[in-house]
Amino acid sequence: MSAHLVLQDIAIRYATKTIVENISFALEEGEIGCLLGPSGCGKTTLLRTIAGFERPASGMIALRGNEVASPSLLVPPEKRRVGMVFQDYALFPHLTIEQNIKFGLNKQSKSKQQQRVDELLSLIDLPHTKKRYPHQLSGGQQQRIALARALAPKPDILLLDEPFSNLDVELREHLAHDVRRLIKTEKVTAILVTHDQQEAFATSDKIALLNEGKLVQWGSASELYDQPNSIFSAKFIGQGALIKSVIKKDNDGISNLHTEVGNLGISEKVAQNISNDSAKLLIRPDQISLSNSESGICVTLISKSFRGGHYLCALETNNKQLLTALLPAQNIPSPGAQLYVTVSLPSTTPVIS
Amino acid sequence: MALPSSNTTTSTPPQAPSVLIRLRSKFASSNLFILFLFTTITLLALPVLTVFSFIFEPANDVWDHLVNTVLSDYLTNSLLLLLGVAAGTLSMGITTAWLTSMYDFPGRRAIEWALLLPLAMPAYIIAYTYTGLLDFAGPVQTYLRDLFGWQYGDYWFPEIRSLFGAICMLSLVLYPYIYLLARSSFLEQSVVTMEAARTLGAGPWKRFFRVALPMARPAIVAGTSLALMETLADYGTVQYFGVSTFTTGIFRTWFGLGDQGAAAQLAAMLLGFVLMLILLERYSRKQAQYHQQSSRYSIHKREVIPGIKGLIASFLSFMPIVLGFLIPFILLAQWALGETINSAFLLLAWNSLTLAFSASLLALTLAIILGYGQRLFPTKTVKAGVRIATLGYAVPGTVIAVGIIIPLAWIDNTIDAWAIETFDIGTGLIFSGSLFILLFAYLVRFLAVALGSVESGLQTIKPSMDDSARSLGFTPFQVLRKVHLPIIRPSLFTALLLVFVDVLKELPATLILRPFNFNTLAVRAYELASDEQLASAAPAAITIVLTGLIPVILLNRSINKSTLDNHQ
Amino acid sequence: MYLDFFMNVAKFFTKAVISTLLLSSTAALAAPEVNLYSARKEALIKPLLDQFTEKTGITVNLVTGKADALLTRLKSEGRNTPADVFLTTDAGRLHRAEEAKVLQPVQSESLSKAIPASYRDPEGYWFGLSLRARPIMYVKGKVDPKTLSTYEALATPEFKGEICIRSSSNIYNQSLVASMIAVDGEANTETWAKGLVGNMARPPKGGDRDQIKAAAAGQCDIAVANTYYFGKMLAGGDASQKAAAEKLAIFWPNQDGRGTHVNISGAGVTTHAKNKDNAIKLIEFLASEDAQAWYSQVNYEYPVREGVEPSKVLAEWGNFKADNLNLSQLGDLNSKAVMLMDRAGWK
Repeated sequence: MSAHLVLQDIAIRYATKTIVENISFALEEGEIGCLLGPSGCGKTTLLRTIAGFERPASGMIALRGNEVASPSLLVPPEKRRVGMVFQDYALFPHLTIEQNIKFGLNKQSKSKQQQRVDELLSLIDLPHTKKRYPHQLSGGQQQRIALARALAPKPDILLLDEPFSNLDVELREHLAHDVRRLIKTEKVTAILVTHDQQEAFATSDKIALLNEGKLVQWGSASELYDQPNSIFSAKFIGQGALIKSVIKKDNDGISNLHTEVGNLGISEKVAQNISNDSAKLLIRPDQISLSNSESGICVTLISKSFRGGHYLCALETNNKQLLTALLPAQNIPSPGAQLYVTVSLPSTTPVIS
Repeated sequence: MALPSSNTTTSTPPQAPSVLIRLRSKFASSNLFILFLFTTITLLALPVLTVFSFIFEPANDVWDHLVNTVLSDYLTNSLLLLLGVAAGTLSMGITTAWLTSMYDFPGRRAIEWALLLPLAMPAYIIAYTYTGLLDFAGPVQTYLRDLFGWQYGDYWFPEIRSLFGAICMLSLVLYPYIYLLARSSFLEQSVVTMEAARTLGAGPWKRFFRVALPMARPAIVAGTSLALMETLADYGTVQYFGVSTFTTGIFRTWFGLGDQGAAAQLAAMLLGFVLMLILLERYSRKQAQYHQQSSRYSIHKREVIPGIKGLIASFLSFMPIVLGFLIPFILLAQWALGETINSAFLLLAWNSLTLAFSASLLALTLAIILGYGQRLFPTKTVKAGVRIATLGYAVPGTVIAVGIIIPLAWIDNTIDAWAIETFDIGTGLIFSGSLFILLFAYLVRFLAVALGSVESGLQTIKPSMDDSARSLGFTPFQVLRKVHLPIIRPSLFTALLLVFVDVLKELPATLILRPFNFNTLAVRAYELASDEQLASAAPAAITIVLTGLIPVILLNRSINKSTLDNHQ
Repeated sequence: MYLDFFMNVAKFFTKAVISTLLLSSTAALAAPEVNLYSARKEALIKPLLDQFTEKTGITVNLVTGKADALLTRLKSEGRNTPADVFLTTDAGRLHRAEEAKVLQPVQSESLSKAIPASYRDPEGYWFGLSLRARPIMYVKGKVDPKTLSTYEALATPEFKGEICIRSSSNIYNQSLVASMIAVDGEANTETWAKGLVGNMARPPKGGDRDQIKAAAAGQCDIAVANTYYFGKMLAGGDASQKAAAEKLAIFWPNQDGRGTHVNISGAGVTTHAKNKDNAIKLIEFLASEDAQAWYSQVNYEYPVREGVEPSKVLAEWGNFKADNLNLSQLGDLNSKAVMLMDRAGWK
């Protein structure tokens, strides 16, 4: 148990209803983890369990090598040294900003408390808000105060529950980077819950992808993007199309995936993992490019949306296979036109059975 | 009376001026509404203003006499009484509200609603019963003397008929105001805020004192001010216990010394007191606001207190019920058993119920109009007007009655004179000679109660809700009907219940203003009890209590249901 | 859900209120009647009123309330007042009503004959109907009645810590003190009041019965209370009250001087009475021998009418000499009495 936070085989149940099951992962000190998944996947419940609000039905949670939760043990949140930023910030409306930040600092001397408040306020760039009340600040400012409040007692772990969901999109991305910078400056280990992959990518070192109460995949952002281990991962992370493929062995005994857009050689190991003869191949939009000759694949342009310099295009092959492609803005005809494209199939392209 | 709960500064819609402009341009009726608002306010303020008008009678030697002799007594006693009742009701009300809303312990469900029972017990009746029980000549002390062979002076026993006794009696019947409002505030508080406090390392005590309690402050202040106004207006208990307060002083000066001016000056001082308290509270609150920021409710889970601690919690929250309800109720029941009940008695009960229902519905309607009026037109004038219109709550019933009869009888006589001159037909006493005057008196006296509840309900609705409904094409009145009223339903029930029970118990104004041959339970109970015939008073007293129980139970069920609805 | 329920109930009650209103106004057009504002409580007057109705067929409509509030009501209602008769305790208040011009003079031979001149207004504005005495009561066996003499003597040091008397807010004490001011003067009475306050066994609280009970329980030896409370305790159904009262006896003070303090309850016809004849009939009835006997037998008050046999209980207390002070003076001196008691620290 060398990792900073360890979750081992966690299951959470309300009465007979299982919320999450078989969750195991570990986070090193200073890392930012992310619980990513669609709503209802159990990510918030899992976060609340780490915080100490829920008791796991099975499994174990350890923080800095100490067990804090198991079916027989529940260290309450106030004893766990966790900091938490809530979706709606949950700032105390009756306290000033300064009092809010000081709330968790009662064990320190007055001057140290003051110093910490000043330090955090300048870190979040809101040094003049001390004497104001939460309702006098904007949503983004409140969010940063909530973060400062949670960071103030230097918690062992910082938990953020959908911290950006109440903000507008522009602010969201800006703040996501800010938050990552702050967390890294404070050298805190953190876990963030979100349903937004952009947020996850912008903030996190490790991502736990959850679906229907199960941990689908655990890894870095690029691992999740480049090597989705399931249809769910592939669909949830990034854009792209899953196209049908059939496995065939060529004369040399090497397995090949035959698809409408070309064939791909795969290793024996991968081939063995595919249970039957058919599999899905993930094609990311950036793998598709326009072909200037008729050597390419003929597709129909269904729709296009402008992405600044590029169009994100929905394409359909003659066999009604849908593809998504990111194509340079020049030379894109109106929907309904026919195009020729080529698909590059690098060896790392994931195959999902 | 001004309820400090109404955090009107924050319920002001940010776009208030624009709302106003839009209203003016769109609805010619808004001018009519404002006119109606001010007519209502003026009418309601009339009695208090009538009493105040006596202030301008020149001060005479009676005032000097009061200052030289009894005024300091009135002041100290009233202050001590207020402080004592505040301490008593706050400690009982908040402890029980906190325990029953946050924890689970043996008997919690039953205790939760039974804690409202003392609300049905008029203060003067509980004072009579405890005196009967604990007085020197009462059964408890007599038993002790017989048991130990003591004589007078041999032993110490708390004197029930004292300032301390009055504090106890009033606290026992008034704490439900705080319990009721604090509990719903605790239940409505965002669970997330408490969780945030936990993650910041706050244990149960810190969470209570630093988060839950300050956040429930508007509700607690509202409850406390209700309790303290009732305390200031109480006459029956302090008079019976021989405690000289402002209220007994007003009576004594008015009726004993026959000096209306000095009495009104005392009454004005009393109101000054009240206003000062309200301003102090407003000031101390400054800019902090109490809107629930979270719209997200988690299922509110009660923590189970196990074992001995659980039993202690049960005991703590059961004591107010025993002292404030069970003991006096059992005594009354025992006395009532020896008495007979006839059909005349049923008529009394019918009169009381009819009056209480009509008055509480009227009060609720007016409270909604005034409360919503303040939200639509949050100008200083409107707010000040509403405060003045509700000052009647802190004025003793007899003073209100006199303040009502003078202007109303004048209006009646003027109409009558005009009618005789014009049509040669006398109209008699249209208002002051009928039940109208009684209902009017109840409104003046108890509108504050209904308004406090309605206002604290409206306060929980964010101004953006108004705007969103307006933007969907609803008129302000449709918004009220379709959005506000359904949302604040629990507060409306609270308002209805509180006024109902108050009217049922109301005594001095009823006594003076009722028409011929019209009696109520309170009048009967009081007449007999004040004639020192406690046993004969018992059937009427116990009927007040029992009738008061019906809405208490109804209300409790609707509160439970609505909080449950919110949490789902 | 509840809202609908409440709306239905509301409609129901609104109807009820309206019909009550209509009923009370239509009743005014029916049979012969007389309207009474009574400061005496319903239980102390209603049985007599019922007898009156039975005898004469005249309906009596009644409002009871505090005397001064009823007086204010009477004044405000002016010429439209529905009240024909104003009935109250305490001569001072009757006098005040007369001064407020809400009563009218009545010439009734039967009333003049029945009621001694000292108990009625010389011009017939009001008539005394019953008499209450406020004697000294002592615990039998603990106090030798020989040591008792006058109200004035109660302030002497020998009674230190022995006296129970109710609050100065009460009209009975106000009248008593007013009567003493009339005889002894203000300065002497104030000295007396201070002495009395020093002799009190406890701060004043409760009513007259409470003083008797406290004396019986041993808290004090001497109580000052009205006779009818004493009578009711002796005769009432409550065993403990009866036992308490039986421990005490009555001493009639000031028999060698002006006599024991008395006051009356009485009634007058209002200035704007619409049923003046019936009003006079009612007062005449209340002064009749039967009604006077009722006061004595049921209420333990003394009849004002001479020649009416007092009840057995009253007879047992013996005859006494009553203070023959002109009762209207009590009203004039009332506020002086209250201020004096304030200065003396009589709570």
